[in-house]
Amino acid sequence: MQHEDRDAAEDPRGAGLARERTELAWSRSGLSVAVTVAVTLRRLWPLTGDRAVVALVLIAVGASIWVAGMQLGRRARLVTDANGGLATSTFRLLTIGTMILALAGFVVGLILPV
Amino acid sequence: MWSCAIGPPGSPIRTGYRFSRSQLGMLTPGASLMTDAADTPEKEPDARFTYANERTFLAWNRTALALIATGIAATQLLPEFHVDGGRRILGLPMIALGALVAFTSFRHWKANERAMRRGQPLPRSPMPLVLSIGIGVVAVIAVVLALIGSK
Repeated sequence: MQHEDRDAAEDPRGAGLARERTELAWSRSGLSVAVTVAVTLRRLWPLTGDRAVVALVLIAVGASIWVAGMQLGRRARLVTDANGGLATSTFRLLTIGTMILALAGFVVGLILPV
Repeated sequence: MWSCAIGPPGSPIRTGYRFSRSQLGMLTPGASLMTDAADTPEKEPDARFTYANERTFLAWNRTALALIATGIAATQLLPEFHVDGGRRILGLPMIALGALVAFTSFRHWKANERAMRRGQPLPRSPMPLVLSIGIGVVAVIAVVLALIGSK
């Protein structure tokens, strides 16, 4: 049993699949950020007429940038870190971004007339 | 015996939350298992566990984003309640809870990473309990506001 576990731990396919799941998790996190930003802006920017077209263009541009960023990040991860781990600054950046969104949501909830 | 909360399906970590020193040594070959943090040399952990820790952080972060988005939606999109500021009473705690979850998820990721590098047991997080209590409190507020009724 221990030999099987040791083999599984050393099997590169396991790490490859784990990396794929992690990349998908990053994609879902990106979508969550997009939804949160959209909900925050919904009240600030009522979408009517031409504004809706502008919003769709912005969404398309944002999605393209996100996909490009994911690809660049994937390549950087493959090249720079054999173990696959990202730098602490990446996690810190996402945490700070999420907290800024929370602060923006708090301000929107407190200040804007509801 | 050591305690652990992460691991891919099928690994000894996943099948039980407790595992032995010999199993730990197997997962991180050559790792020293001294418990004294100052003297413990750091080793690169198995890539799968690094990824698992990263996914756990991302899952907590998405939970935080969901709380924030729901809180904003509650303050901005729900109809008015009979209680003054009812939507804010409902939404703002969720946003605050989301910020707390985001902050603690980073700290927990860092603590897990350090523990894995040192071959130490993974630290326990109080966040599942805090999150459960927080969501429970918000649910009670929502029920009370719904019973009072909307304008």
